[in-house]
Amino acid sequence: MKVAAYHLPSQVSGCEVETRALGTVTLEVPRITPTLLTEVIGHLQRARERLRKRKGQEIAEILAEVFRRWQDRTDPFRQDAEAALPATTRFSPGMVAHGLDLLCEGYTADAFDELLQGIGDEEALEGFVHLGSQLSRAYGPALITHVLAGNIPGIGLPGLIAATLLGSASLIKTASAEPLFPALWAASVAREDPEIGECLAVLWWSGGRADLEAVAFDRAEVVIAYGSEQTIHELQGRIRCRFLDHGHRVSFGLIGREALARAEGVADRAAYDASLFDQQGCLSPHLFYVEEGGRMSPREFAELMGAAMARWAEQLPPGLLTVEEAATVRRFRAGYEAQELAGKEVALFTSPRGLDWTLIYDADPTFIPSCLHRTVLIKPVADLLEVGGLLRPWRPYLQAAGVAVIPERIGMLAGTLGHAGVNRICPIGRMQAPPLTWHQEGRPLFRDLLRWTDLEV
Amino acid sequence: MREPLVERVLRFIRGTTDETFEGLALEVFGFQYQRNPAYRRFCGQRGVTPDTIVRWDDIPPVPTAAFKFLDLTCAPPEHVFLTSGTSQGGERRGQHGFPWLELYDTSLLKNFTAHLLPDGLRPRMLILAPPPDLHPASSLSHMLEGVRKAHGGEGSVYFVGETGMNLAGLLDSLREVESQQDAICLLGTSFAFVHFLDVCLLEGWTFQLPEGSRLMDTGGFKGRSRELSREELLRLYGKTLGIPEALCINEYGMTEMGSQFYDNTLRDRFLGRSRVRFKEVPPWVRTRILDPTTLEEIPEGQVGLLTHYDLANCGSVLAIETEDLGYRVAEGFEVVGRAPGAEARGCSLTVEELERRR
Repeated sequence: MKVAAYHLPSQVSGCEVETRALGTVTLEVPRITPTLLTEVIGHLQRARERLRKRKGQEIAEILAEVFRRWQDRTDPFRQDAEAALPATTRFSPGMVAHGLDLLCEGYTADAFDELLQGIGDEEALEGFVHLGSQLSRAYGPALITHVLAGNIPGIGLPGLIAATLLGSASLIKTASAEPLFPALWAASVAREDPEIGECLAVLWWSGGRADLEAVAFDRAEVVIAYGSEQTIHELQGRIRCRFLDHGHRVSFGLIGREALARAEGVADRAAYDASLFDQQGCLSPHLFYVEEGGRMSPREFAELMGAAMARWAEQLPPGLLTVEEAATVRRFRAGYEAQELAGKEVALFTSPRGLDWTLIYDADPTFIPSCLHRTVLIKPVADLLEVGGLLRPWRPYLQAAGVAVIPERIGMLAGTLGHAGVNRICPIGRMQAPPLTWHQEGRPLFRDLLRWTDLEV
Repeated sequence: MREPLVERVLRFIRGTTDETFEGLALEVFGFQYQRNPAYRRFCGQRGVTPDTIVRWDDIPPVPTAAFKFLDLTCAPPEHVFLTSGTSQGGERRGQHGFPWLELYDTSLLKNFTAHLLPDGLRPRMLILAPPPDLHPASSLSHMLEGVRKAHGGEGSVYFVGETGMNLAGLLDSLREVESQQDAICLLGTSFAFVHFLDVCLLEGWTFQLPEGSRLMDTGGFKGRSRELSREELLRLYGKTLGIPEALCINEYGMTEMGSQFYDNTLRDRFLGRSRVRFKEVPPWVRTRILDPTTLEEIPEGQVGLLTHYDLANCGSVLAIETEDLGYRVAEGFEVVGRAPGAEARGCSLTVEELERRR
């Protein structure tokens, strides 16, 4: 199938379109030159002047309607996404459909309202207001450049939504691995409200093209970028405006001994969190610490969770692995199998065929990141509070912790985890569905975009 | 008193027997299953015993990672080689014990002479690697010393010492050789060659080595020099040393194997053949290329996991599942590279990204 993997303001004229094959899908992408990009940015900035006069509340309602329509599986944008994303992302069709549902579920009018309220005083966007002893006014950026990465559909959406609610224009550079969803989303916004659509441009170019990136970065007031540490580091050197980086992160889970009284449910939810998006997300748990002294041993829990992984592999089938990915999983398994054979306290539970899922029980509590692709480590601890120390070397990379503990313990545990650098603590089974108000990388999404002017009288 | 089976394998490697690879491989498997408790447990996990298999390619291959944790020898070793680990360091090293080192040495010399000295030359060997007394546990050092002792002409020496490469000595030797008639052989690690070539480029040094001079490089760059493509490296060998491409041979081997593989081009030239470059599989080894997901053989031409069945590993495990990717070419294969660990697909941190950082 052939799909347009770009979205441009309607007045941009005369751009040449070429095709790019990604899996079984042919993507149409414009041939981008610095001149074209400059023209696109000009249109975005003019269109934005109209958008910024509109109320956040009103934009929120429109965006909520956009996502409501995405939930309808007969909607043409949704259908294009379901047809093409398995080829571009290499997720299974079932996973793509489930992922889209999950995405839309969180993007409601209420969620957008909550985000808007986070600014403190919404009126500050329209004029100087009293904040404490002074007058202050907030400005949204005229243009935000978003550099997306990775294959997870919907990555970067929180930033895009926040930008749009603020009345900012967005130039989106898509990821090589997933250039399609942002283009479809922007087109679906334009269908709902052409004026907002004029403030969005979605383009793909091969990362690192200095001529294009000079334009894209120099004309933006804020750059939001996703990517590996190396990518982020390279970008950092070239961006002079406000730079909001989202490097790769690692998430994990904690299971208290009391929660093992209902171990089947916990294992099922933990397996869901780890299976979703084939464990590729920054919110995907790599490992679970399981507390000793509960109804079953951590090792028995590993076996139970293996069975749950098998069920999720049926329900949300894993995507195809590249040869390199498969070799990586095989090597990871081989190391642990050898340890098991050597008599270490290690046990391996694997899918009966192929590399669909791998559960490893390892009595050594050291925090070890998984090779991903549905490979989960289970490690025992005598007390969950010990985890704080084990996390220390991973502090710069920590993202979410999924927890299953009795309510009386959550306060102290959250304190330990927050202190260790974790920026989100949530129930197991909800790890991949963060609210829009989540302080991703420990930062406030909305307020990070604002520029303030204070007036002292 | 050495095992009769070992004697038979030695004769097979020497080519002085009419036994078949298939028959010997199954016998060696039975022997290893019996003598090697760790391997027996490994086979047990897969439900395989010598009675359940009828073909050599049913023998369960052991991943190289297992050498890090398991003792896989069939008898007390005469010598133990250790893997070098990776450039990231800190990693646990694999060990491979040889109860009968003669298997290694016989395989080495037979295969080396076939691919580097088919003309019976006894060249002066200039070696860009450390001598074995510096790295007694390195299989590469043992290998280079083996060929030097057996086939190295007068003035065969090492140019890497405790303090690094002896560039001045190497330069002197090359200048000296240039004025002589006798072809020489340069041997060493790829990163040492790149290091040397970089100095040559910087200083503007070039050499015209005597006709028939040849070169063998081995191993990856391991972060110890800049990374060059094979094509670029071959071009530089020609430009800087005056050695034609066909006489530049890449060796591919690993601590976990008793045998090595060499490019076919030098031997082909000697035999008057012309084929594309590939790694030739000696008669006492079989190489299969497997789909890493299913461990089934992959269709011709596709990249898969290189898996070797090496009779010279009679004293440990014959079947080795490597971490290297490759594809079939002519009667052999070509290596794509050590499976680098996949790039991140999504936004989760990967082990590879961390390793690169360290």
